[in-house]
Amino acid sequence: MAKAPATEKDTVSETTERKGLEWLDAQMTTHFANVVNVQGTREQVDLFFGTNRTWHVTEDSGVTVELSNRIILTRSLPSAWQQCWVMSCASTSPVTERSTSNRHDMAGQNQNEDLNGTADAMPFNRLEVLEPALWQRLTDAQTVAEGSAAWLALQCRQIFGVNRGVVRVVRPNGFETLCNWPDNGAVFTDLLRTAELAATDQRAVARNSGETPSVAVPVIIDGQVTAVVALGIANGGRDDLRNAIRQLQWGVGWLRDALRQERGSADSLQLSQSRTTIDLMVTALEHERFSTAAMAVATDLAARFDCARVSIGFVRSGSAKIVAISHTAQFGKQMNLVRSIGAAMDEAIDQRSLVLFPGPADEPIATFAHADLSREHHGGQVLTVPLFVVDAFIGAIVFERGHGHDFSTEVIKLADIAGAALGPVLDEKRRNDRWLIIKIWESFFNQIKRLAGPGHITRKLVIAALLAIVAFFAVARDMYRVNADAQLEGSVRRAVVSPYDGYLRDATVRAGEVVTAGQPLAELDDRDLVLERLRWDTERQQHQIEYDQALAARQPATVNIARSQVDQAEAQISLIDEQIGRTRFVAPFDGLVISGDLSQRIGSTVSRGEVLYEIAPLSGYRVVMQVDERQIAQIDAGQTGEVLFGALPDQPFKIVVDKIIPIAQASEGRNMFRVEGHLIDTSERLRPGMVGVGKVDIGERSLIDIWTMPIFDWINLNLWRWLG
Amino acid sequence: MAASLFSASWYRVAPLRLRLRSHAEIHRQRFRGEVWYVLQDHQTGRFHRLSPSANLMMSLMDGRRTIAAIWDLVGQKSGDDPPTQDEVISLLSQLHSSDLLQGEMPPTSMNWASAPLPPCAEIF
Repeated sequence: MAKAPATEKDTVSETTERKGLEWLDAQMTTHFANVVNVQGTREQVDLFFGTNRTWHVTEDSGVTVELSNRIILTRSLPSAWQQCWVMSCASTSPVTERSTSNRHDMAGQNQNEDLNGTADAMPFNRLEVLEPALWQRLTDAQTVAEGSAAWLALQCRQIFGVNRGVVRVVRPNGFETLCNWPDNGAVFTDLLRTAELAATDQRAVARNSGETPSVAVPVIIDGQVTAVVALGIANGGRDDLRNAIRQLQWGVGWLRDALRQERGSADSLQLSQSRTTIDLMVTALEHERFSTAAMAVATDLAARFDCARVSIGFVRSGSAKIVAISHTAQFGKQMNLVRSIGAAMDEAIDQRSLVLFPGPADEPIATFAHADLSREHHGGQVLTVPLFVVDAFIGAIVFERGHGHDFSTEVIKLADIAGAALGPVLDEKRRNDRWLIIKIWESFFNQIKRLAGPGHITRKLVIAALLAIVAFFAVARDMYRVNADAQLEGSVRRAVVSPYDGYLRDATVRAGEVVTAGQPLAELDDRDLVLERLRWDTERQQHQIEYDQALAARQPATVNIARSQVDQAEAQISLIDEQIGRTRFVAPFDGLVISGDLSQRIGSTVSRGEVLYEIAPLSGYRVVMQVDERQIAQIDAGQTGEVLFGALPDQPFKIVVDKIIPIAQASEGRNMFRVEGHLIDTSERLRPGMVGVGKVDIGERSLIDIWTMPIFDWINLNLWRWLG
Repeated sequence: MAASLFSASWYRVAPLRLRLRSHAEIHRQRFRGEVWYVLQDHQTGRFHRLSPSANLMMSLMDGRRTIAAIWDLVGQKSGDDPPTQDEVISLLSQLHSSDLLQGEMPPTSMNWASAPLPPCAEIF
């Protein structure tokens, strides 16, 4: 037992200070008493001695006590004791030496510093009585770190020759030292090395290269190294090390169990987080309309996280607009409350981070709007979680709690996770629930953005090529022509007509033959006429004789009658002569017989007025075109063009439009107008009746006009028909 | 010209614990697609335009942190383009000359630096 009196000069910080009670410790003396037989689980008992210096105690004045002495009763529990000591005195730098020569003297020497820093030797004997306390700590431990410290202390006591130990666990970013024994802040570099070796090899190792031999045993859960325990053995021989490893392997079971439990509880926490998130997503998805879904989510969040109010907002035209407030069906967008919630959302979205107000002091986050919201409305804590979708912050959720009801770290984390999950779901719903026209516009805008923005090379090239083609056709000009079926006709067509009924005696020409002016074409049978003429001739002579007799008999009346009869006969003769003359048909001019073939009808009758031949002159042709009524308005007399005949496809002929017959004829379901023109130069090879295609030049126009004109004309007409 | 991050006059403002006076109010505004903050002075009726990082500084000036600590925090947050000490000094001097700052203020601090107007604080 040792008592170590020391003069206390510094402020003792572990003394609990209640408000209104002032401890004057300037004159205080400190005595240490290490007591063997203290029962109980507390490591330290402090006894303070002092005098009350307050004369008149009122309700609101404090009490001043001048401390004169204190006695600190501790147990010789090195790790726990020192942990407590280090925690309370920041300036302490304990140096621990442990005589390791004898197992029974393991805890023998323990040097400690008091608060002044004067090192007083405080030897501890091995205290069996402390073991129950350690066992108690082991069973009471809430966390792995807490429990493993007690476990390590116990383990080190049980293995012969152990002078130091360390427990390290594997975290995602490397090893982390869970606890040291003895816990005096020293770092056992050689043990760390041994532990690393054991973790790499995944088996127990013994190493003798350092200052003292050391052993390490890995804790393997599900085939993965989860933790490593390393112990330094003083003066350990080969057998000692083997023994140590065996015992450690036996003892490490507890650690494995604790780690497995921790992992299980982490899993269950994750499970509950996932369940919450999925529940929220189901809430969002089970409503059809976005506004009801958002409100349901807000209300669900408020109930789940025990919030006074939860608001959801989305960014529109640069600032957040509230779309739902929990438990609220209607709210005014211009109300101060709604606006300050929106400002808080903007603040979080602008800073792209979760904002908690009042929050941790060392976070570089602007919180003006959150401070306003908190101050103006309920004075509680405000948490804003921005919603992130793909590559942008599209909204935020504001959680508000009443005064004195702060958010715990788990709730903040869960809110963050919920925000991350709900953001895309709600955004999808919002996009889907808009007017179709807005969606179309946005889609169009996206296309434009892709076109103007980075990437999408192929799309840009194709569009550029299309634009170039359109530009080319808009600029390039060509002659606009109206197409029409064309037929070649003679400029004049002369008909050869039978003057009276008769019989055909002879036909020398047929259709297709070229005739010269005066050339006989055909003859009618004139025998009747010749006989008739003979009859009239004899009759004339008979009347002439009668006339002569009457003149000789001096009968004037008979003379007159006879003379008239002679005249009549002469007139008949000349008529018949004329008729005989007409039995022979001759060509009226040089030309081509274009119809009429009488060679098969010799001897048959022809009736009066029947067309026997048609003759067209070879020199003058005209071209007759059938122009569609939709294009007729563009054609004018005097326009030039070309015609190409089917018979002469290699030789186009120039034409000039002469006139347009203003009467339409229906043909092939379309209304056609007849347009006549004449050839500028003729050819020997042309024949009346040839058929081809004519093109009339209207004027120069851009190609795109030429191609699209029929479409636009059609659209105009139909628009006018239905709408005009 | 690349402005230096550090300023010779920094030691004068670094230990100050300042805060914005209560009659100043900050509004968020969007100008030409960018977010700015407008500091409205309810006493004089004047307006000051602040950049987001200046707004962050204003928010962190709670009368407990020193300017040096705030500058460090803002530097952490703004990444590649932290406000230079000269910018901070002239921001503070402008706010001070507009009577918008409150706190322990040395009398000599009226003329912290003769730096030109920084881009983060414009009076219009």
